Amino acid sequence: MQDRTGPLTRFVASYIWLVRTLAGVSMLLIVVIMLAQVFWRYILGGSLIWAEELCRYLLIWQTFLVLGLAFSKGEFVVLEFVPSLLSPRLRWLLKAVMAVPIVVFLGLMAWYGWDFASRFDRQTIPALDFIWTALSGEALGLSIRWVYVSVTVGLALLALHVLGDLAVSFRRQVINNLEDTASDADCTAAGTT
Amino acid sequence: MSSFFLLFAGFLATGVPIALALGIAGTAYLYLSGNGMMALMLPQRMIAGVDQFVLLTIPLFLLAGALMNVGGVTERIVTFARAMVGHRRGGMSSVSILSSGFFAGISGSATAEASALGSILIPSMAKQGMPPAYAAALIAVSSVMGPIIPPSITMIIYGVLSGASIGQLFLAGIMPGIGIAVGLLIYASWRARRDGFPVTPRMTARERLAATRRTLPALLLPLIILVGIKAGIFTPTEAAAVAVGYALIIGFVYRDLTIARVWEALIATALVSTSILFITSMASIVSFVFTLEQVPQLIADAMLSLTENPWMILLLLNIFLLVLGMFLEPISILILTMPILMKFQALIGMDPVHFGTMVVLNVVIGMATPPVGILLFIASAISGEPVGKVIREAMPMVGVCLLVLTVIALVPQVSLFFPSFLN
Repeated sequence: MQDRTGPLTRFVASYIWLVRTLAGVSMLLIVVIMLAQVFWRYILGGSLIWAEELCRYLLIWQTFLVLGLAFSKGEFVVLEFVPSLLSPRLRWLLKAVMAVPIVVFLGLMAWYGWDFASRFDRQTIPALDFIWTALSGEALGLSIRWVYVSVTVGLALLALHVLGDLAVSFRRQVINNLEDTASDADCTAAGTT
Repeated sequence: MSSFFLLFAGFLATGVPIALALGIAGTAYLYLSGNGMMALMLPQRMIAGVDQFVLLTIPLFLLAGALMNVGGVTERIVTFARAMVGHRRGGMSSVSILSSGFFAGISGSATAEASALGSILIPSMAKQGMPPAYAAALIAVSSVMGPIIPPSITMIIYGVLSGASIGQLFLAGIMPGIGIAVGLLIYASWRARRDGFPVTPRMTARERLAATRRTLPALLLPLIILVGIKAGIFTPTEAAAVAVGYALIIGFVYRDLTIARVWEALIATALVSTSILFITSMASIVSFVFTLEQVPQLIADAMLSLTENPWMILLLLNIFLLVLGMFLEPISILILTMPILMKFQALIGMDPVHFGTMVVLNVVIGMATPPVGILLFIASAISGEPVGKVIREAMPMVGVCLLVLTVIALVPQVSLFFPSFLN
């Protein structure tokens, strides 16, 4: 922690704050829209035709956006069969080696994901068009590409988290040969709670 | 096909998260089998793995459970269970099993159940003189009830993938849930007598009544969900949203819920659901690759070459699922094997709801079996006991669950009791 420069720490802290806030807002929106949907249908007798679509898109963005943070917080299910047999130094080395296929895979999928999303440039999001038309009389015309681009953003962020965690645990595991508990995850989240 | 499993096992053993191990092994297999240019389609599969309306039930039911937990409902449930069975020998172990059963009625997820109940009940069982490894094992295995007793995220996924009625599946889960609870209660009281666990004094009648009154609203939730879905008032996704609304209302009425706690629960739920949805997303890559390479057909042929006797197929199918369950979590198993399962269901001619209940029970038991029994890891982490010791204590209890599975598989009337009763 001590070797972190001020601006970097501040940047990481504000990035984490931003992702957490967006995740919370997205969850809240999903709950509010779904409850509104039930309320509209059974109390007011109408139906919010855009509700389902909007919630699905929120879920997609939410899922991919917080991937990196979830990884660093240790939310991913990991089986530490071989790592638990190794010394901290070797364990870091194994983690570094295994990071290669992970980052290559994530990079490839992020690249292909961008490609995939760009094919939908002309297709707009019906739910948002509908809401916008009701509000301002004009369709919003936001492309569905900006939903699918979440894959690229999310996987790229996840790759950065994988590399960032390696860098953070380098000092502890390799230089001091200490056990790496969940501490690096806590460090990354330290500024937020 | 074997190259996929070798790669997958290799990544898994070296500490690559399960979701990524699935995705990387699946993609590598695609390249190895000469279909590398198909990798361009994988991002579409990843989105399709998340882009389903019914998957919203995952964050919503998790959120309902989290709100109940921070809203003090978990503690109320434990107090209620203590009022009911706390006076028995080794009372806290019976309390744990009963609490798990009740908690399963508000939560659709076994992992949420193990972490919420484990942090309260493992220390209090240890305080009553039970070995912590035994306490941890009991929590781990009891949590299997979470996705069996409705609501259940796993059953919703099964219903979506197979087309079986989710409302019927929910009802069919009641009997196996009760079966596991009773089986574990019998085992726990046998252990308590054998090892001489202490007895705690019985609560007074007034205390018991107070505990019941304080817990009743929380216990009504499964009823609301079941009735709502069965009567066609709301879809499973809407039921999950209603569960969240209900959890918010009773949390604020009990005054245990604050805005800050709700906000933290929202963020925590987003993080946990991402880890599940990333697995469904990666599993749908693998299922795409499998379909491309006709793996389901190969496995079905291999199984049919062994036997054509329906009972033997049923047995083989269950063993196959149990083995998968040792390495994978339920949702990815369902996504990966559904084409095979559908083939065999038609072949054996089993009722779709009965078959679904059996499959879900089977894959959920896998969460409490080594080596990748996530529930064992959660309980071991909470108790501070090594996983190996927890596993040893858990084995007889897993045996109890397998006994229930056998009964469910062989006697359709058991799981279909509530579904046919209410039709």
